Amino acid sequence: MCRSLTNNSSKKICALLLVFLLAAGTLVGCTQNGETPTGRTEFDLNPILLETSHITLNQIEIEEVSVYSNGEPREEEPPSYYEYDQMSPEEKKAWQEKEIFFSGNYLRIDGLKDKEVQDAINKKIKQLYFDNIGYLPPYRGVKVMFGDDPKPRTDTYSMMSMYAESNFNNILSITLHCSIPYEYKDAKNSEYNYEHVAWVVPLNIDLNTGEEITLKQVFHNHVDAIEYLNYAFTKTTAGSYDGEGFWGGVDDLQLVGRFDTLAEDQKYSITPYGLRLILDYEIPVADIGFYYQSMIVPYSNEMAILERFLTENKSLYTSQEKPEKNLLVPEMRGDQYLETSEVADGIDIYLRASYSSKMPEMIIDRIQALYEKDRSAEIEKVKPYYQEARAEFGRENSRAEFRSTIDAGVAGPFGTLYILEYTYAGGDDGRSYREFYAKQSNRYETYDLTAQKSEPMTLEDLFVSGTDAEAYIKEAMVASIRATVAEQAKNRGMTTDMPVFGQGEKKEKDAAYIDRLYESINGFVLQSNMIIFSYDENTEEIYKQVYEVESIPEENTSYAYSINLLPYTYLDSDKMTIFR
Amino acid sequence: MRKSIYVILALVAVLSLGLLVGCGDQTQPGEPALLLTPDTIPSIDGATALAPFYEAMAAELMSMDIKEARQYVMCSKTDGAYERLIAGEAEMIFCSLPSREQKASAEAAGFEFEMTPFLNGGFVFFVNKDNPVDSLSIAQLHDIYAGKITNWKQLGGDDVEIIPYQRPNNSGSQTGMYEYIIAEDEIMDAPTERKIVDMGGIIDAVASYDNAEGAIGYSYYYYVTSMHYTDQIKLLAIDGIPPSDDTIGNATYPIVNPSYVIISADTPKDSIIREIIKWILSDEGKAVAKEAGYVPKLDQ
Repeated sequence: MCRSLTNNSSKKICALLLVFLLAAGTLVGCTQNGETPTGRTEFDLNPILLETSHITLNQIEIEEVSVYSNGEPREEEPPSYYEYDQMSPEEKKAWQEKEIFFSGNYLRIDGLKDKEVQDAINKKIKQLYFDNIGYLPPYRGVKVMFGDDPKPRTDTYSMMSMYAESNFNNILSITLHCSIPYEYKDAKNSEYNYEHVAWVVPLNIDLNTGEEITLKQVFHNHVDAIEYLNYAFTKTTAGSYDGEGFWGGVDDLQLVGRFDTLAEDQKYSITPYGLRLILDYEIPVADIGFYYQSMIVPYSNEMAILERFLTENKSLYTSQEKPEKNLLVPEMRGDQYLETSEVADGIDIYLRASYSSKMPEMIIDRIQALYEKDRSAEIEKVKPYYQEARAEFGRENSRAEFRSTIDAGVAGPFGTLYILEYTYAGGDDGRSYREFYAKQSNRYETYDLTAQKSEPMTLEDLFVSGTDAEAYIKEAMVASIRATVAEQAKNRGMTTDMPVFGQGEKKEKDAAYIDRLYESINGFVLQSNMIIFSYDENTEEIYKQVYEVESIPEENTSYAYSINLLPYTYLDSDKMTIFR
Repeated sequence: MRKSIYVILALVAVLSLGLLVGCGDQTQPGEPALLLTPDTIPSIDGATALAPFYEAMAAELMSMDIKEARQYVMCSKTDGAYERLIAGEAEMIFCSLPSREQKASAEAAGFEFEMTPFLNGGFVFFVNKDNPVDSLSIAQLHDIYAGKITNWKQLGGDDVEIIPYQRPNNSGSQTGMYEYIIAEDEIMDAPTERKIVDMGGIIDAVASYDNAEGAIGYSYYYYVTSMHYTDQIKLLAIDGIPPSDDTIGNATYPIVNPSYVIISADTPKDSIIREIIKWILSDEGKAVAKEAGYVPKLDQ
């Protein structure tokens, strides 16, 4: 093409232009990692492994200040609704004037070293409450129903309630939830003549500075926050179109018209599972009715929020206690389900397994092996009992079943399997009922997803090398039983003369009980703030054998149940590998 | 002298033109010819798919910001809108044609609908943008969803199995499918995916479209631009006619379903409601519809 030009300079320019065009075309055609050829980025919204595995709880006290609808502190607590119901009309009227039907509070924090920042935060929190007094959110149709000068009702329940959605990693996320009944403009709309209008207002604070956290700060600097959230929104609400029908997505969210984009000031709160996007009148496409919806956008490796406000080697708090750590439990959405339902020799057999396809292959292999395991021995065991049930109750009134479920989860960088089996045979003819056989077994397994090991973790794996895991766990069991007994005594108003577990006359039996429990542990799973054990034997039976009783005394039932789960606070987090 | 006359004539022409333009429209620039207030706007309701139109209409007619105007219109969805219209709580609704049940309710209440079509919706089919097939006939679509055509090569495409995605039975698209393409008792079983529901149960749910190589799905034209896969799919022509604003607007695209503004047949002739309907059908109304992303019904 350039050759047809007669002028040499023109030919050179033409050639340069061609080279430029070719280069530009090549660059446009190239794709970066994770980008589709059209330039749209595909995000991994729900990764199994996050860069951050655990959170550290903030050491602040959060007080609830109970207030009236005008924000003034309550002078006296209202009676219970039961007590109110028993009152005379005059007494009821008096309490109505004291807003018995209104429940309101704002929060106040204490415990930051920087008192100026603390005061600024408390002021912001209180102002959030006051800004919403008398507010009627501009929901679609709200003035059609309530008019231009709506009247809130005071003779029925209403609330402006504030709570901390999350309080960790130097972040405080607060939500004010309001639900106010407004009178209909046109009385014949409803026999009750009013309807509750609900809305929430979140406030996300950096405890270092007292400043509000922007959406942009939630994400790493190189990530476009709105692009990411738009992607998450369209993926999650993919089924929420189509006019009058809807499918899946966000609860029963039905989109109005087409979704375009979320706004830079999209309302959100920070939860232990991810961001909670508030879908209300500020997003017209989600605005139906006089209430809000919300959707969780799980934590992902595009988000910086979990690390951004941490201060290494510097505590913001006056407390001298060791801060509590929890594993981060992602909002994991299982997408693989196996299910079998059949009848063999009259016995109902039900098998189920659920897990995420993002789990490492060795875990999936394990799940499938468990699902396909030969269970003929367990089923054979129940057959003679089923025969007995049929002999006594007849075929139609007797039942036998075998159920096995395997559910996989994730906590921090650990994969967890909950394996439950239940076998039963019994009869029920409407007049009498009898259980001929019932056996339930739980077995839990935990795997380190960062290690290429196909064997489940052991209790020793939870602690750093050189730590006596057995001693720590037994100590924690004792502490857990003592704490639960004390709590029960307090709740029941009992005296403090109860024998302390592990002391006094029962000391040896208590020690033997702990030893038996520990020996019976056959597995565990990790949750955000505790370990849950599974046992070979039923812990109630262990108690009865050790203490040589037919049944557990009521005041000691906690002995058998409080050791199923152990909060990490009873174990020394500095000695635990799971927070490394 | 001649030059001065020409200058004067030019000035007169410009002045006259300005006057004519000024006289042609008595309203101030930016004000609609029909102006409503919160007190005069009738009670409006309708389907979720049409709410963006009628609230844009309300904003235009009340000369109000749309955030403010939105508070003066309801969106009770189709069933709710028809109920409110029949009960006299709504005066004009924006919906598709009434169902058998809605007609029966109206008859029982002695209510007569008056329906004016004003928008055209296109029922569209889409495939992966790399699928070489560009057009199908309604008969071919029927046979795909009846399970009689199972491979794209039977339609002149690649040797790839067809994955005919569907929508749940309570959805507008599935209703459209039964109306335009294939009867409910003829349609094949939809691809399913297992979903876990509350209480840990598992159900076999209608699978969502995933834009695989052999996938085909359907929806309404209005929604397609905001679907998750929008830039990865292409819309099929039906009988050689591709769906577009023009072909849907003038109903040359074969599968068009109008949307209607519906009022009581007893609405007085001089009612503001009838003025609003005239406005909706005017160029101004059509412009508002287009701006809101809809396809106005074009005069044929």
